[in-house]
Amino acid sequence: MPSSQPNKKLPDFIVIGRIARAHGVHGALKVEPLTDDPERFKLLEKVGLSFDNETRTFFNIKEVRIGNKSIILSLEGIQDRNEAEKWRRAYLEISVDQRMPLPEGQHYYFEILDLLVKTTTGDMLGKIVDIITNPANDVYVVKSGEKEILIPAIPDVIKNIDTESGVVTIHLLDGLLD
Amino acid sequence: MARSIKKGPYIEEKLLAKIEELNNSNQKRVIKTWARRSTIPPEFVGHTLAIHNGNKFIPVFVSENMVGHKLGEFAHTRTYRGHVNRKAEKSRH
Repeated sequence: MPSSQPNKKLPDFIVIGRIARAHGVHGALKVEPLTDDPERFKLLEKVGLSFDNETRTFFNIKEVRIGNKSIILSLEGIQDRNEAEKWRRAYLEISVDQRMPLPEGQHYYFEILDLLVKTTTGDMLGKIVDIITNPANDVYVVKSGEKEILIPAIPDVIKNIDTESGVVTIHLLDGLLD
Repeated sequence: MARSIKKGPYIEEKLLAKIEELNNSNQKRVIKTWARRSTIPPEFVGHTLAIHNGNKFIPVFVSENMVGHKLGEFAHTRTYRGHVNRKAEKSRH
């Protein structure tokens, strides 16, 4: 049985986008957003660029232009296209304190991963090891020993997510474990 | 090419019968199905179906705006693992 993880440590940085390519000849970057609200880019003053999640370089933001599917970002210190090309495929990161507050019933993925799953009857099922993003609803992959259980993230099933104590309480619908 | 209007939508009969049985008894149960090609009729709304994606059964809650689509559209057969551990996106329930 996995042990409980109260007060799970948050990551220091979270990813909000990925550099797709250079844009134009003045060092602008075309960013593929990995966040639900691209408008948040307009509120930022500083971002980190990283390839490996270990080291990152910080830049002040000069200008943000939001398009249909991508964002054009101009950063101080990146002046020409050659410099911009070096950052292709880099992740755009912000510190975890800068994350946007979410409405009730929504959580960041990193808050949900590694939480323990308990049924309303008190049975411990296992730990959330992955989240499958589906067009209809997210699906939590719960590892229970060798077995994987797929739990739909819907109000009928997810009764409570307590990130403080690290436990997700679910109502097991008939047939969910078959 | 679209299916002929004369024929009407294709709906898996066995699955529809099971759902109608649940509707009549006012019960909720996850039903496993392989019928990815079945169109979603209004009777399915509010039920959770475990749709096979070739590997496992993906639990999908059927909502009103899914009516008219095929079940297979909601259980992807390929897994995109590009940003899994790094993305900052959120999950709602």
